[in-house]
Amino acid sequence: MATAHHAEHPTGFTRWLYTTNHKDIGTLYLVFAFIMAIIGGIMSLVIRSELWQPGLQLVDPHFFNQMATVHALIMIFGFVMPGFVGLANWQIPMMIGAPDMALPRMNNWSFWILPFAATLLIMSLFMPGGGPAAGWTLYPPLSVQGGIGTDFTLLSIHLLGMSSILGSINIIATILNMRAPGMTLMKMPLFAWTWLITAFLLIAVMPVLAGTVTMLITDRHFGTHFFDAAGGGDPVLWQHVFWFFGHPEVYILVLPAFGVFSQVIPTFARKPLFGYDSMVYATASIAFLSFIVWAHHMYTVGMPLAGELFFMYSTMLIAVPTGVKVFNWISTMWRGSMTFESPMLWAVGGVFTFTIGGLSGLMLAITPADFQYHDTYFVVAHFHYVIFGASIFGIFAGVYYWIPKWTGHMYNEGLAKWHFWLTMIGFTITFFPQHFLGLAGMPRRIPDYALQFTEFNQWSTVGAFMTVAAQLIFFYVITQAIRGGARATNKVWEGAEGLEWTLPSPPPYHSFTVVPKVK
Amino acid sequence: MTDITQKTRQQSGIQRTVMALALLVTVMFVSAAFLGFGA
Repeated sequence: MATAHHAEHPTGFTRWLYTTNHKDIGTLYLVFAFIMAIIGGIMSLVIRSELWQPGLQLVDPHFFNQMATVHALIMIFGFVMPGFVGLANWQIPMMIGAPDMALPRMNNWSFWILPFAATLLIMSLFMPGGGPAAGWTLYPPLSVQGGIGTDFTLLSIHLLGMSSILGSINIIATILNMRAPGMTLMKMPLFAWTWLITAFLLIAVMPVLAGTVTMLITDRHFGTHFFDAAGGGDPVLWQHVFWFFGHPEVYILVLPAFGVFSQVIPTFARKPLFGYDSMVYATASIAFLSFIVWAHHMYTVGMPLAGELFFMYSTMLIAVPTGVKVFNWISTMWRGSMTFESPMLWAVGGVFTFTIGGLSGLMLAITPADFQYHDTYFVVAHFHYVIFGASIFGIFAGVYYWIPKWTGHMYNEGLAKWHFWLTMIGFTITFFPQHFLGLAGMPRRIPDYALQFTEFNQWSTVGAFMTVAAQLIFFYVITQAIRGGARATNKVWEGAEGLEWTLPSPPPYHSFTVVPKVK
Repeated sequence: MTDITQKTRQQSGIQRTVMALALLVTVMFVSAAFLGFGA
């Protein structure tokens, strides 16, 4: 058979090192993301343990700052982004009816950059003077003053950015060129759409981050003064360029989760997605708006009033397409024959927590109010509601939704529900009280606090331990599903629609060797 | 099986997409750097 040699692939370590197969690379991304989530999670426990009571308890304040910085970098660049790239690698070729990604060798390279970049980032903590301690936003002058650990981090960010750019080029090239005949863009599954838009965002902003990080490196080592006021530079320039990357980055983290919700909710409501077209336009509008709102992260630096008004109104405008999305998800569920298997729990839970995060985002968008909230725990609560409550919930929804397809085995639904509820409750106990702490004025990124903040902080710490512990259940459920269990059917879920469900579970090594036709 | 013409078309489409995206990456990187020099 002509295709027989395609099915041969190395076994053992070389299979994973040399692989150009989208499923193997997807698995690598997901495993990597999980390991990073554990490391980042442990760092969050160091932070929360120190904050169990006022005063300095466990760690040196400088180390606390390093933990806050590296926890964020690992969770953003090591967990959430690779997690979604893993889902994209597994699903996009199967969803659009392609045999593999458009650029399989580059796909391998995109992944294998990551472990080296992550090693550099984690090694920075062991360098003389410790790791980066300026916060993940790496604001000068702190980031200019940091030790060699900061250089490790900056190099790591360059590598992570390269990996993302290569991955995005691959995703765009795949979606634009390899769709099955008949699958027009407006027939494409929403997950592929949200990833297409996310990939464009990545390509537009990752080079900007690389540009500004390069300027920081030249400031540190080659005598330039881009961000140094003493040499005629301006530290605020960093904030502008960083947030030109940073705000779209937030949407990079959350749009693929919206894609997952848009796949999962129709399946378990047993109804087609309400307002498909408006979902696509809303995603594109969110992406466009994300480029013109960056300075809402820096109202307090002293901008002209016109600037503050512009960024306030443009930020509030994002509520419109976001509202369209939430409306569409709810309308999809309206009068549907709903069941609540784990993917649906994560999706509905994600829409719920995201809505809370979105509303606190609107509060932060209001310039005069932000002068009070800025750099407080209110901001910490807000972005964890968005990044954890929407992005990470989206990753879990996606993994539970597709794992029977990937492994050919059903997972343990009972334990998976325990995982959801313990995480949901742990998450709420951790982050909801942080709104109150922030409104009362507790600053973030500080290892010590005033006595009156103790009780809410203790709630937060208990919740954090509960949330991290609940992930052990996830690990167990997934390992069990990989090793065996009840056979999954091709369609897996009664209400599932799309090309990936026409393939066997698990799918063959090359997804579609015969091109499917889409009506 | 995909016929040869379709495959060739797909290949050149992929090449064009990659070239265009690489150009976009370069433009964004250079503009960020020039912003630094201009400021």
